[in-house]
Parts: sequence; C-alpha cells; structure tokens
Amino acid sequence: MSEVIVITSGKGGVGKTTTTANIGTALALQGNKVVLMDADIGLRNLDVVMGLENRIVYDLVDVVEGVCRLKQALIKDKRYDGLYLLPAAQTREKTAVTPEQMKKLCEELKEQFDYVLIDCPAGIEQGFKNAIAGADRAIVITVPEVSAVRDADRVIGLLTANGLEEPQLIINRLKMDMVRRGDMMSIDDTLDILGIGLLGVVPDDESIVISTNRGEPAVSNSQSLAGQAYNNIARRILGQDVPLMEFNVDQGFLSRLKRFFGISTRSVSDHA
Amino acid sequence: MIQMRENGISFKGTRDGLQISLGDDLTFDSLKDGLRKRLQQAGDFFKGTGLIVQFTGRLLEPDEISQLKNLIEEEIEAPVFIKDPPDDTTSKIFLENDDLIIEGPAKFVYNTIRSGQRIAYDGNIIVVGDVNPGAEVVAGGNIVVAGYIRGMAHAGSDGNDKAVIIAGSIRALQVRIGHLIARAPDNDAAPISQPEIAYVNGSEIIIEPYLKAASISRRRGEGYI
Repeated sequence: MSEVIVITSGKGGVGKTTTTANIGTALALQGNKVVLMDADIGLRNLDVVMGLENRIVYDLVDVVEGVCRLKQALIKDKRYDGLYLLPAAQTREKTAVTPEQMKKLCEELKEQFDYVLIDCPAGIEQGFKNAIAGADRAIVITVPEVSAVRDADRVIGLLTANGLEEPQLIINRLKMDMVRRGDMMSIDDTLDILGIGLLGVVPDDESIVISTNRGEPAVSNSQSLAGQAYNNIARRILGQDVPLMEFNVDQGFLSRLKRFFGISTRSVSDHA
Repeated sequence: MIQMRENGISFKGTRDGLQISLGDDLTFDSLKDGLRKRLQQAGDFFKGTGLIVQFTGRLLEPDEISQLKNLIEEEIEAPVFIKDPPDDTTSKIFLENDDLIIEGPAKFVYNTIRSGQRIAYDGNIIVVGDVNPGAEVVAGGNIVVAGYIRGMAHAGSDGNDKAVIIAGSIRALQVRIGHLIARAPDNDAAPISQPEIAYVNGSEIIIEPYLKAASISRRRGEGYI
C-alpha cells in the first residue's frame, strides 16, 4: 500500500528539505522504493541536498506540461537502491502547476513507488496548496521557537481543513542543554500548543550542516545523532514502535562519572 | 452607541455601521416621512459621510429598500451601502438578568482553533479544545473554552458588557468584552492553570480564577476583593 507524504512547516528554514532527504533515504535503506518530489518550484534545493543537481535534465513542470515522460524526469540515486528524485523547475513559478495536476502526478507516482515524499515550499500560498493536493498524510516540521510553532499551528489548521486530518509532528534542532536552562521551548511546551501526535525529535547537530553541504544525507552516517533520529522517524513511519532517543551528548566524562556514583549534575536544573 | 427612538424608527450605531430599526406597525409611507424627519433633525451629524446601513425590525421588499437608500443618500448627500439584515437563525436574542447573559443561541466548535482561524457567531460560542495564539473567537454573547485561550477572544462583540469569557486557563494575548480591551501583561507572570473567568467591572476587564462561591454581582460589587 503506497503512500504520499507531504513534509511541510509554514515557516522557512526549519528543515523541510533536510528532513525530506533524510527520511526518504532512510526509507530506501530499509528496502522501500521511494521518490522524493521537490514541490518548491523556483527555489529548488532538494537536488542540492541530495547531491544530484548535476543530473537534472527534465523536471516536475516538464512532466506536468507533457514535455517529457515521468520516467525521463526521475533521477535515480545510485548510492541508495530504490531512491529517486523528481526535481522542481528552477526557472518557473509556483503557478506553473495546479493542485489538480499535482494530484494526478501523485497518483501516477503511487503506482510505481512505496513512498512518495513531497518537499513542500515555505508559506501557505499556491505552492503549499499544490504540495498538499495529492498527499495522503502530512508531517509538520517545527523548531522549538515561538514563531515557528505559531506557523506550524497555522499549517496544521490548513491541513485539517483540507482533509489531512491527523498530521504528525517532528521537532527539529532541539538543544537539550538550552531546554534544561529554560531558554528553549521543551518538547512538552511545543506539544502543549500544537496538540498533535509526535513522530520524532531531531537534536541540533553540526554534522547535518556538513552532510547537507556535501550532498550526503546524514542517515548514512552512523556517527550522526541527527541521522539516528531520522532513521528512527523512518522506522516509525513504517509502523515500528521506536522509543524517543535520549539526548545527553553534551555530557563530558566527569558528569558521566558523577552520574555513575549517583551524584547527578543535572537534577538541580531539571527541576528548576 | 447611539440609540434614539421616535416615530417607530430607532438608530443604533454599531461597529459595523448604522442599524436602523423600523417599526412594523406603521405604513411604509409614514416610515419614510419619519426617517426623513429624523435625518433632518440630526442636522449635519450624518452629512457628507458614507454610511453602512442595516435595516432591522421589518421585512422590506427590494423596491422599498432602494427607496429608503435613495432617501438617505439624498439627505446625507453621500453614498449609502445597504447591509443584509441579520440572519434570523442567529439573531442576537439573549435573555439577560441584571448581571449576565443567561440564555441565547450557541455554537459548538469541537476542535482546537488554530492560528489564522476565526470563529465568529452572533450568539454564545463553546469551544471544546484550545484557542491557540493567532486564532480569533468573536461572539455576540459569552465564550466558554474547555481548554486554554492563548489567542484572542472577544465576547459581547456588539457591545454587550454582560458577556463573560470562561476558560480552563486564560492566557490570551488579548481579551475583549463589549467595547473594552485587556491585553496580557508584558512581564511573563506565571500563568494560572485553573479555570478562569473574564468579566467587566465598571470600565475594566477583570480576569481571575473562577470560584464557584462568588456570583458575578458579588464579584462586581464592593464586597468582593
């Protein structure tokens, strides 16, 4: 049973593209046939993050306009079995396609793939409407900041109004030490406002920047904490029961030693 | 709010324009005469300003509406826009006692109201969920929210100071009742996580924990602190 999943956020720069790339790669690594669709026409990025930019010949708009066949526009990622990219057009605008055309395209892709992941553009205008038109399921990304959460809330409202009843949430770039100091919204604070199911939490991780710049998804790096988090999210999408990770990476040797002896260094701030 | 009653005609200024209530026991011609007289009495008050007018109290034929529209335009020497009369099914008929709205039509919303969404209703509104930041709930009567209010709530939107807002916790950015506006304090006081009520006392909106024992009149009166 194949599924079209749209990854959206409202606010820009919270990690939609990175998340799409990583979840898609993780799903492919688990043996699924996956296509990543970049719906951000005019501001495409997914090809860059995947390191496939130089292989684009045809794009999504070409397919919709009948310039080429779907198969010609799909780029196979040679590093991962079963992973494909359908790039966006860079020289066109969001209005180049309609929600009806996107719906039809999604139906076509569903016949060939287990998972169709759509990287939604920021905003709630035409590009957003196009991206959600053919989706069966929605994932909302936010970072633990008031403005991003506000936008996520707006998007959840629009998703439910458009028949995507139960969107799931990914909290990206969580800094556990800042949460502990009370300087950042916690997972609970965020869930309290948004009130939807939590699909996963991705810790703030420098290795993401490196892997994004290199065009290598972090899930392929077993050392990356964020990569692990994305792997877990992919497994949850597949229906597996994976508990949330513990993010206590910032603890040095001394604090681990203290914890070993039962002298917690965190207990004070935890209960502050 | 301006309210005057004479010759079967009363004027009521609302936020959305001028409501002209027409008695239905008079002939149309005498109503027209009365209306002309009233506008002349008002002198320069309405002169030269475009008006949004809503007729209430009497069913009018389209032809009669345009006659009245022309008449007003003639008198005030400015364009008039006619607003449809209020829908009967949602007409703001509230039963009130000295302190409170105690009965009236109500709308139930069975989900959380999120940023960018707006629920407006002439009667009372009951939200079974939260009102999130960036969302708006506007009721002609009372607002009751089962969860938290974090957005904007306006009760008694037609200027009814008897309206109240009740929620699991009122953490709203702004609370409006009738013509009054209260906004959240700039310093982030620790929010109260127990049911709260917002009501008007004099010219102030009071928000406080809801105590079963204290009636609104006691709250409003001197005795209550």
